[in-house]
Amino acid sequence: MSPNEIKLRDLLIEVLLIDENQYKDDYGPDEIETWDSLASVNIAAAVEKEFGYVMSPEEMASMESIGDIKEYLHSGGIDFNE
Amino acid sequence: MNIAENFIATTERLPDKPFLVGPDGVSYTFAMILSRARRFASLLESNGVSPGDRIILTFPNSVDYFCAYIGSLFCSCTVIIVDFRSRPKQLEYVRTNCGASFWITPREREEYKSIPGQIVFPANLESYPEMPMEHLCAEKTPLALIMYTSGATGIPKGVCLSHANLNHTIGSIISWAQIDENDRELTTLSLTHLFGLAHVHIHWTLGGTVFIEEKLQDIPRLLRKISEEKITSFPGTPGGFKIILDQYADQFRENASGLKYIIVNSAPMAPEYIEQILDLLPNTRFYMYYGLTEASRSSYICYNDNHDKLKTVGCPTPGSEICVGTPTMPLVNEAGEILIRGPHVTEGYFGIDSTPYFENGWLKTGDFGIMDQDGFVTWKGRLKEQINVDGMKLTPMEVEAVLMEHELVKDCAAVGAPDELTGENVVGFVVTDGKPDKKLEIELRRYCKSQLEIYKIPKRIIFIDEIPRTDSGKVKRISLKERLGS
Repeated sequence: MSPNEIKLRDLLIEVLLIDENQYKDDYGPDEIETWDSLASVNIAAAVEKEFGYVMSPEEMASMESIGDIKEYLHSGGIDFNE
Repeated sequence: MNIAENFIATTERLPDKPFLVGPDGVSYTFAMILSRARRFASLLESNGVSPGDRIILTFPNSVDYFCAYIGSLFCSCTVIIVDFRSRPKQLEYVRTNCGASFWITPREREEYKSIPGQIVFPANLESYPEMPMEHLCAEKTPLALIMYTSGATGIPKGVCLSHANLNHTIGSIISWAQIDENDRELTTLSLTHLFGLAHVHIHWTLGGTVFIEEKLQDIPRLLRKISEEKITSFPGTPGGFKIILDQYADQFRENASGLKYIIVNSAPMAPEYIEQILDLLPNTRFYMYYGLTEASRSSYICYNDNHDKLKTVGCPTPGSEICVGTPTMPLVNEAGEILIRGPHVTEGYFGIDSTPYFENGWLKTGDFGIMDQDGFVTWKGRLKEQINVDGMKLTPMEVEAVLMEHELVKDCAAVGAPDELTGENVVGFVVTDGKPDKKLEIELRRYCKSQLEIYKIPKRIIFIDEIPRTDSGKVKRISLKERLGS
């Protein structure tokens, strides 16, 4: 796992209180009971604080999985490769 | 009159009109829901349920939930609604406290298996016969609902609501919000709380249609739905509207201009957000009301007509009386406890002496407010220590009791911290024997998650050396709140 991936995982563990085994690219609000709109706002705030990446409203709206978050960060130049 | 009789009357008048549209988009007419609720009533009867029995329903927002709800009312039962996200311990507490014979759930859940009296909503409901029409609501059971709310002591109390209480509230809202049978409502509210539930009561009384969503999620899709489905009513919480206004204001204006009205409740809303809604949707009536489970919809305001009263929650609703201070010497333009009287007010709490909560027939709300010379009420906060997370109430003691169960917690206290989005959030202060680091913070919050509803989980844990207390041992919460800013 790359350092950025570890940062993102820890951030989501803190905001959503998920277990490490729930950190999966295809997991989203349907799989994670603590993930609702309020949590999405908190995720965006934590991502900005941790990575300096400001999510657009469209990105926040279409954030349907952990994989989506990684894609946005990747498009912002944040590398997830080891 | 049983509130389900309103539903029967509407079904006779408008059998083929859509009543509920589920989160999956499947639409059910009044006649279809009547049929399904009658079948569910037969299921209850076949399990030995009799009029006056208490039945717990614990469902997410869904069409099946309403079939079970109306079916239970058809059997003249008293319904207790428990949030689907409640933990087994809370469900068991409510079941034992109210002496419910059965609890109904949409599916088996492993953690809840040991709680007696479970009935799973059947997938084959069609195989049950429809209860004969003449058997529906046959017995006059005065009590319609028992709604459990957080008590000042941290022990949930069951608020008893009669059919008469609810019928008064239905009539009151219809009169001041000018709702009619052509209304189409989109609801993202939890329908296990009275705010959202009472709206469904209204629509089944008038013949409106309710589009049910499980929660406020994927807001752009919801906004498109408002426009595509020609929605006229969109109730919500201040926190939900803040997200919409902060992030999707343009889409909101584009899609929601056809809304006839918006209703907000549960927590105060900042005047700048109220002004923004009035500005974005000039043709939409924007209502706010104030009430408690014990006295739902006690005051209301239409902000379109009262631009100078944006900080208030309005005047008493028809039939409701509000005073501040004491009934004999009511205060004007001076803060005191808000007292409420009227046909919508509960007669008391289930199974306990409710005398201390009333004064000469007035409900002592525990809320702190001001009534101005025009009769408009401004809500200032709570006399008690309740925390309000976007309309969901809890007491610090509920969180503290859970935190204290953890082996590394020596002492603790919880307070409400200001939150831009939700009004307040929960912060736990903990004295620990362990290492006071991030890892322990997450562990404690996770432990709370395993024991409490999501909104009650502390957003932060702050480790301190000692919980400040008075000589008599009471937590000095003000002193803790002062530390939040530092």
